Amino acid sequence: MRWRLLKHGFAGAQTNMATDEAILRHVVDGRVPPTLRFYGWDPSAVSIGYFQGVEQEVDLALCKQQNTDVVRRLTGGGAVYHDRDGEITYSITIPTNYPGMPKKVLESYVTLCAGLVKGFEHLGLPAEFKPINDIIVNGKKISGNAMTRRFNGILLHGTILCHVDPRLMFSLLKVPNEKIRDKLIAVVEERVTSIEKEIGTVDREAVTEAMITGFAETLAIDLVPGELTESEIELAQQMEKERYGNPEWNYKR
Amino acid sequence: MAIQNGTTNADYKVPGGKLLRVIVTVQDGVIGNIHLNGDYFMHPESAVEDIEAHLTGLPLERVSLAHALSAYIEDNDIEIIGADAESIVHTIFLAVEG
Repeated sequence: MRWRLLKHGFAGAQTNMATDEAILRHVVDGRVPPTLRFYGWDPSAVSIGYFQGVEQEVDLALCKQQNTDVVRRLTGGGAVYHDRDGEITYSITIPTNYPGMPKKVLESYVTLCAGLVKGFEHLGLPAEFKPINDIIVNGKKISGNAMTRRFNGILLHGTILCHVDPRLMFSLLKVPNEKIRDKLIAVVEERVTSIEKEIGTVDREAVTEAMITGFAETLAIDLVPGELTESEIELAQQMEKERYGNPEWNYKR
Repeated sequence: MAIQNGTTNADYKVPGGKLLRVIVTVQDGVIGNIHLNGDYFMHPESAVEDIEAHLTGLPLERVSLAHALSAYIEDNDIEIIGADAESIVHTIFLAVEG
């Protein structure tokens, strides 16, 4: 099967999330092919899961002061600090009735994340999927993923961790109390890894290519480089205004 | 022990699952307002607002609340990953019983 490959550069948090949703809404009725997209975050940003309370999770004053975007995702899961230089982000958008796609949510994570697992292997890293939604290398998390099923489509997006700075991360994310801040930082140091930690250097282009190869192999697809359609760009702009750039959405919980 | 009126909250890490963060307002032994926050997954996501609305007005009685919640989840084909009816009710009572 032919898929569309989108290699996007850096954009703001609102644009990134709006673009994923715009693609989803176009994939479901066949206006665009199933799509694999790569992107980055500039400025660095915090995204929170659909069900999270923004005040509970994020130091909003500090984010504002440091020019860090804050956005609520369409997907559940936890708060993520998306460091501009520390992460490559991907999204996959397919119709729910995509051939061979498991109906069960957890099973479809396994099917889709297999591409990333293979991609990490191409980088020389022994990766495996760890339920509920992580990919681990040598027992440590290197990728977190989150799925929504809406409008008869599946959107899976997630992180490929290139460089992790737990101290910076926990300055922007709230901790239950100050006494355990250092302990939480130590836990992340111990349980989360990155491509830099594992292989010493990060070549963003090479990492992206490894993942593309991984997805092409595991899903048996042809990834054809493409562009967003005019209609997708328009819808993304609308979504940015109505949803991801709108305090009503971002602060709704 | 009577449950006090007011807004209270509790966090609960579901064993093998995700973190539930419940904020609940109690009024005369009944759920006044409730937020089921957390880093879990629910499909469809919009069901969380429906569940919160459904819980509002129900008496804070552990067994009946658990029954009402599981029945609502089942009847409406809601899939929760990393939490379940039991852990949600457990967290509600962690909050209201302090």
